[in-house]
Amino acid sequence: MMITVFADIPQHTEASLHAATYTVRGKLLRTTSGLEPYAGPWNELTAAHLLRRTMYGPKRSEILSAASSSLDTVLTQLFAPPPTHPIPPDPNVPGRDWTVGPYSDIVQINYQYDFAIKKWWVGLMLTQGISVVEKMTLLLHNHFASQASIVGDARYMYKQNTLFRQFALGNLKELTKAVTIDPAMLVYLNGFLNKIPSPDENYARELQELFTIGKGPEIADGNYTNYTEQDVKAAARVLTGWTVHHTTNPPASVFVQKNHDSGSKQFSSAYQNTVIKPTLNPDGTMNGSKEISDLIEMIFLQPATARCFCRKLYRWFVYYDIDDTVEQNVIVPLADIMMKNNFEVKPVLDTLFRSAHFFDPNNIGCVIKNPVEFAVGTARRLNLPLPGSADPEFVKVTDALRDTAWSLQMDLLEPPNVAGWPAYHQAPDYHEIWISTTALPTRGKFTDTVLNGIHPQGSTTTYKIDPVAYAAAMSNPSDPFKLVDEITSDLLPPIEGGAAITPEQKNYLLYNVMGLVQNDEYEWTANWNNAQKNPPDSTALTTVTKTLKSLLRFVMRMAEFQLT
Amino acid sequence: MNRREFIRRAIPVTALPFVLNGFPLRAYGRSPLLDAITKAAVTTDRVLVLVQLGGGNDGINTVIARDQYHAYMNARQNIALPELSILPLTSETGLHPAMTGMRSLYEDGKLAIVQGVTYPNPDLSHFRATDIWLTAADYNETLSDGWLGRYLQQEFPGYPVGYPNEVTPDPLAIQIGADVSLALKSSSGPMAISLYDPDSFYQLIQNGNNGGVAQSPKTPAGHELSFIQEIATQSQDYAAQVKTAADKISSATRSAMYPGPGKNYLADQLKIVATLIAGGLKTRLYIVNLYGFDTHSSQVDGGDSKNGEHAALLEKLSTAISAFQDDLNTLGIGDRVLGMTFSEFGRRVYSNSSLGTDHGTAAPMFLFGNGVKPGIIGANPDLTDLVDGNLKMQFDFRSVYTSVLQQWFATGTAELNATLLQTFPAIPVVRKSYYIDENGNRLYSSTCRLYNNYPNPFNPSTTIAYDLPDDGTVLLEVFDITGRKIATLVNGFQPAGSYKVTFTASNRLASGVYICQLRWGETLAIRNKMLLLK
Repeated sequence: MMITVFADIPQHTEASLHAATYTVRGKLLRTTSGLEPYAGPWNELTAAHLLRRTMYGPKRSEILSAASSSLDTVLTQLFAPPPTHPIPPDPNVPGRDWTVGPYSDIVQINYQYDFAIKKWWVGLMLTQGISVVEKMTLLLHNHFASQASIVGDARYMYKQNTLFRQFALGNLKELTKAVTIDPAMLVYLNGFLNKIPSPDENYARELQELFTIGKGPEIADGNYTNYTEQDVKAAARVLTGWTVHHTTNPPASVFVQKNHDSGSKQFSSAYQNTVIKPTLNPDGTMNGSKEISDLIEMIFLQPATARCFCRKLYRWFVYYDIDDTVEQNVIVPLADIMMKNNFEVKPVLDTLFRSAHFFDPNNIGCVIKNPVEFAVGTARRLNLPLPGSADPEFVKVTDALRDTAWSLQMDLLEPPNVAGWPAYHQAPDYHEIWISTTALPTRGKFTDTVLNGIHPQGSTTTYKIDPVAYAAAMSNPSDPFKLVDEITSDLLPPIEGGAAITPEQKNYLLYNVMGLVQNDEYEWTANWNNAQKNPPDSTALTTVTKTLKSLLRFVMRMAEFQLT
Repeated sequence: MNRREFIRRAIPVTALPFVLNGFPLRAYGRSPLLDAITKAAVTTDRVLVLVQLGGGNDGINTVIARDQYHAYMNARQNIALPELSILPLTSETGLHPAMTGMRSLYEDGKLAIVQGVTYPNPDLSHFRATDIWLTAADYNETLSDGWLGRYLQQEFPGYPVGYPNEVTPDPLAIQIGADVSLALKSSSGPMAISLYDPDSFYQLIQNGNNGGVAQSPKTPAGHELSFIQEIATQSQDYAAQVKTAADKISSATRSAMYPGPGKNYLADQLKIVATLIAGGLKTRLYIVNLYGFDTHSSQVDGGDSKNGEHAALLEKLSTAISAFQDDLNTLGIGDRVLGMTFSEFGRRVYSNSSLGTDHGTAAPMFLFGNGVKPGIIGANPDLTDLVDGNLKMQFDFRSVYTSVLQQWFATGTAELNATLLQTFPAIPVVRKSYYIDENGNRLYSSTCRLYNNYPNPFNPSTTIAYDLPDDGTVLLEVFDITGRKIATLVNGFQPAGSYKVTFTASNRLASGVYICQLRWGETLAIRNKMLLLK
């Protein structure tokens, strides 16, 4: 039923250094902390939290390095402008730039090029350094969702993906203008068919319902608080006349004046009764881009738009549950910052990632990893051996990870519909939607495979993580107690009181999973040391490898491993 | 599930067998509350299968108002079906030409159509409208649990704690697919499990572990942790049951009407459902789905409105449902299963210039099964009496939900109110002969009965008694042995029930044998001999 907050919530004040907690639905503890800067210690736990939320599978070395630096330094790294990337390799003509290639060559085998983008994209996530850009890029794909199978032209999808990456740390308002006439979007939401005399309302509706201002409660027939059915129709008229020249190289959006509605568009009181009129170019023709710009400016003037974006950011980076307190203490002030900064996203993220709220213990470890994060992050943090990114083998490995995410219900470039993946918008379950009786065992099967060996399609090589090398990077792997502590801290988020596991769980891992014998635990030490000799004692190495595999296999099948 | 309960279930810390692929077998306890808990449920082996048509099905091109063809053509010239291609059901109403399978079901008395279903102030957003259908909310109300979740919670309070158990060993509900529909969520979490198919479900679980020790503090992380552990538990609890059920059914005993695997996604899902029901699962609810109905453009092929994306979808729907129905009867479980389609909305009456239709409101729902009360409920939508270009409501979808729960599952008033949160008028969607009481027994005789007249022999009057299992048209006549009609005692519609009619022989009738004949509906003709002795 509806989430209600109990009446006795302690009110947050600027002076309160220590945030209070309160319960929702009688069971869920949340926090009143807000956007005030985090004043607690900067250490391995906090560094791990920041990197895990902003990247795909930060490695232990990256976390330790961040912990020995400062929050300022790490944020500067995270917000560094994205490097330029080589284009996705052409699967048919090596070295060709197919993204501007002839339409006729691509269209018949378009799906191969969609797949080329997907594999390439996974590769960027996998090889990215300290940066929030790839997670933001996926967020934008989820927000301005399009499905490659409906768009039907991989060149458009590549162009759109590039747009998202270009704007990942840029201006959301300008991005929205660009998306509105982006070829992929024009095709996906029928903008290219939107012309007088019967406008197609598809994009005009989703622009307002999902992409910008968001739908509020229906307070009267056809009035969704933030906009009305009249505004859907008026916006559709503003957007008439755009189409895509799909046979050009590269594909281009064009404005066809004769298909454009030249009348004035009257919006409702939700938009202060704004009237948008066509603007004329000096040569007397109509300026379609200017009219779109007027429309987007009008929508972005409304505070509801910034709040809608901030909720999206919150559900992606913090947690899905936005109750009245979070709305007041986090979303509203964050939206103010967004508006003051004219919709630049960097200052907004910077404020959020420095905040007491972000580092509040109650917000740590509560995000269920999405399938892309699960597959790519697992490979990255456990150092799955990879061919060089120019090696043809590379995309075979990334394809295996793409395929895993697909089987877990997250097919890149194919969100289920225009609202994106339901985990980020469907109340009340949100992230929990990723976990089902089908998905959970499939996740376990994948982590088993990472240990036993991935056999990418079309490759004769087996790729698997090396549990001994992974353990060797811990501070003192010959000490089984310390080893279990460090491995679980590296792979699992702290759930309660800063520890990843309880003492009971630790005992279980030591004595049941690793098979150590109580009071004789240092047999492990002897085995480890013998396995590390040069040359290693082969019996000891076999024992150590097997034991570590059992440990990692078990830990990665723990419920805690689904969380970050 | 609280933390203590979970720990008790999940970790017998000592003496763990270290057997199954290196993972401990989970031992779980039985709750003494179980007997009390399970008594809440209505005892029935009935099953409801929901078919979700995702995207908003164009009802106007699915069930066509033949009696308004001019208005129909006028509103959607570029996508209107040719008049002669429409499959007639009645003189007023027909089906899309791709739906031959469902037309046959209609002719066999196994299909009902409820016309004009939506709710007051319908929403045109896919997401909001879908949520409204799944949660049975008012247009301006947001609910976080689904209507079937609430229904199951009434029937099986306490779930998931103490489940599975001896009385309820199987999943309460199964969603074919990757995740569980909002319809099946309750305040205590998902009331269903999801699976693609029984074999791969089982194989995946074989290698599983339950993640060892559980902890669930009240923090958000603890909350998510408990949720994931519960799903892990359910996977393990139900995998073997599902597999066992599936393995019982051999492919030799199946309907030949299914398209091959992979050819019709909906048929593949429904076949799994039939397998699990026939294999003995006591699961009460299944949800399957077919997506792609959001036909803003290319709903029909240019120049050929009989074909196109919508025709392909309806062909899949019709073929899948008719094959499923045939399969259920082949497997001998047809009397236990009722099916129902729904979609978040219908589409706009006027088509757009992209050979498609935009989001609309009211649309027809289909119900199918041996137990369905066949026919068309409601009138064709009036294609000229519109609100903002959209059809008006005839039935609230929650009336249909109410009817199914009452008539198919014998849901009591209190449970019904807790499920649908308001009262909605029921409409007859189930044959009366299929009504059951809370113990699962039929309320009415399932067949039409004509009793021996009394007295017999008679002079001059005798009483003829008969039972009608369902509402219908009755013709009760008396003939002499040459076949000449002597009297018509009843001719007309009568509700289900027991009746007595007196026949008085006129003075002119000679002594001898007379035949009393009862006709009910279309198929039955029952005869009894009566002896007039003067």
